[in-house]
Amino acid sequence: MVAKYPEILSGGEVAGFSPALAERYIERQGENRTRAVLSVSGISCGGCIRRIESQLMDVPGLCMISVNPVSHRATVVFDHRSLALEKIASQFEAIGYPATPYQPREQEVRIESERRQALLRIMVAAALGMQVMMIATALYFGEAYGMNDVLRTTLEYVAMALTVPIMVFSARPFFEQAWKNLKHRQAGMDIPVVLALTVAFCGSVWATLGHAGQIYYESIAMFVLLLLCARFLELSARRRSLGAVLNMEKSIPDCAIRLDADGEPVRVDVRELVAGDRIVIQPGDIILADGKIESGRTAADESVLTGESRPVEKEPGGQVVAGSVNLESPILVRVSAAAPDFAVSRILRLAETAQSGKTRTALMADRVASYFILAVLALAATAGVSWWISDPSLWLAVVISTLVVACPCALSLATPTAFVAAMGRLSRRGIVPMKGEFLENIRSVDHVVFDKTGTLTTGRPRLKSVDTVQGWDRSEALSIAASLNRHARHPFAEAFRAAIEEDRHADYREIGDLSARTGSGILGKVGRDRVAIGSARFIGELVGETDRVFSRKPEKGRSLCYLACEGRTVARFELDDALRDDARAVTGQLKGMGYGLVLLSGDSCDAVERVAGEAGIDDRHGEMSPNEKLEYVRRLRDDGRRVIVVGDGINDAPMVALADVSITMGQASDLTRLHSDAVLLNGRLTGIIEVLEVAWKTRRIIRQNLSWALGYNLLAIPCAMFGLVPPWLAAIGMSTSSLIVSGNAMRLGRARRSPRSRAGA
Amino acid sequence: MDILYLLIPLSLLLVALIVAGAVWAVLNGQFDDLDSPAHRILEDKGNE
Repeated sequence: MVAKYPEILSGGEVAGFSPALAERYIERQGENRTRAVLSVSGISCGGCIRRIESQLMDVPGLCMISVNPVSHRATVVFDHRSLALEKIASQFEAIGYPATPYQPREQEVRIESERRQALLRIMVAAALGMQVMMIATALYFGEAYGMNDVLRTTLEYVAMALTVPIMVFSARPFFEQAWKNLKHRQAGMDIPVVLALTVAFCGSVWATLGHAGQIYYESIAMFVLLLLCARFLELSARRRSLGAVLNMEKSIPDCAIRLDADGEPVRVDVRELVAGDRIVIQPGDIILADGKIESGRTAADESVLTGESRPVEKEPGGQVVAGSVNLESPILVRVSAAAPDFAVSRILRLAETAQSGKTRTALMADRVASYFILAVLALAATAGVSWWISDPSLWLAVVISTLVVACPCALSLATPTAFVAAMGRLSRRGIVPMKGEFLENIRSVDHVVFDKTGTLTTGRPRLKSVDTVQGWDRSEALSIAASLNRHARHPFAEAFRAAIEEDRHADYREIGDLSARTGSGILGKVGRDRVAIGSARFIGELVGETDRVFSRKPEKGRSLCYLACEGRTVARFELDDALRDDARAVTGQLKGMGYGLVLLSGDSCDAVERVAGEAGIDDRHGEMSPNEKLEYVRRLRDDGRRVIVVGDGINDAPMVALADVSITMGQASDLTRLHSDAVLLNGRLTGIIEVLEVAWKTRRIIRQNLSWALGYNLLAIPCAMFGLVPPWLAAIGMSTSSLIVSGNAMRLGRARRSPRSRAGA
Repeated sequence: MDILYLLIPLSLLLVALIVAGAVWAVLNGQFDDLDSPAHRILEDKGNE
């Protein structure tokens, strides 16, 4: 079965929005003003922003545009009666910055509002805390040089009044968290915090009301402010990394490309689909509804239904199931039933990335911390009771000191801060970590499996040479080949389009009856001559002979493409996919670090042989199907190896899912990237080395942090219990300890190049 | 030291003003995007 070109299988980008879909992305601001946010790609500097803003201002109907240089989002306000959203998007595309309408994810909206709340709490704590601190200073001096009772009492009451909002508003998250912990019978680190705050506040109020005792308002204010600041920093780091991940999404997850009655593609909301609709599904996308394939041949990952990640071959006429993933080539599907809710929610869940989720080390640290908290509570109680018996005037101070000084912040912060810093550093270097735990898993890895095309090589093949039979010349053959490939998506098609630009005598021709056979070749008509281009097998089956008609033997290791005209082969194209510049250096370094290297590829053995030879990889396997790749990785793992898979294609997706750690190249499809652990956005393989280095450094930092936190607590708690640490000093000790831990973690953020062997780390 | 009985309420008033200002700024979105303005100043021309 053949498919019509080009509208159906490559028309995705130009499709407009259905009214219902557009409605989701715009916000009416009065009668004729509409606001929308677009996620823009391709911005590299402030100049780009300037260019976008100045060029788009001229678009009639656009009232305002502003582009954020960090989040790469553009906010536009326009007149929706004269301008459509997709028109604006296509204007972005026209000046070289493709843009997709953007709807903030739930996660993001939540973080944004949390951030505002946190800022408010910090500001209140800081402003009021400063006053409390000033009053405390006055009271200290009053204590030393004498102060009349009325003034002292007034100052104490004012300090109390200022501390109330801090306790009620600023410290509220701690109370909420502690309450949640209590309800779930967990010992979280907010419990001692809340206990210390409550005890200190009640004790101070008691003293203020004229009874015996000390006031600790300034300790409370400082303690709350420092804790809030630490959490705010963590929140900011989370917001940044989430933004980076969401920015990489090029497509709208729950949006389908539907062909209307005239075959025009329109983007619609999944929920609008009804039985009988025809939808186009690009490789790497989720199949959005149950249906029958009308054209196109592909493989689908139906693991959502069967649990088996082995791809299932799909032929025209075959059934596809909502929620499975199209792996190989574009297909046209006739919808048989509207998209079920579970499929929609699965799509959205996939898009809500795996950003959250604590790492194993962090979970362990949390568990240790909870035992630790119980121990601290017991110790504080013991100390309180003993002091109550021996010296009742000091028991409150001792209890507060013990609770505050032992605040397990350092212990809890030790791991997450290190991970946040490591992820931040990787992001800055163009490596986007999708999940945190890979930095832990990667330490036990001993094998690295590479894909060839697009991973070790650039994935942009170039036309190297053209052989023609008598009566044909290079430009003629190239013209027809490029015309046939004009709208095709295969990487080779790109090579032909690039070559025709360079050849002055070649030009695009009118092609009639264009049709494609996915993965094999393309057929068409030039004038009255039937022409075809494709692989040796495809052309061989079509006309019977390929290589024999050419006198020259093709160079070893090149990919070959044949052009046939009216029943005979007329030209042979040799294409070559160059090794990435840094491939050899990286494989050399990895070998030096003691990793086993493997190259698995679907390309011909010849081509694989050449690339492996150039990159210095001994263990290489060509002509492998995605299934065989999967089996190979599975065997490695069964032998007790731990494997990193470095790949780019959708056909690597099964292998990527199985690997201990997966790293994908930046041009991989949205879905493959979402499934991988890290994405090399900058397309440089040296990123792998960097990831490994950062992982080893992270581990060292975590160890240092944990030993510091333990050592500090072993020293500080006994001191506090014996009454050697006043509460204010305890607060300083606690925050210094937290700062040391965070500061140590921040060292990870500094990029210093130091190649390290695995054994030395 | 009686002046303190005037200065303390004054300082409280000041604090109230500071807090009110900060709350206004946060709720107005002044802190939502801390990056764009820093870049914008490097551009040769103003926007408008």
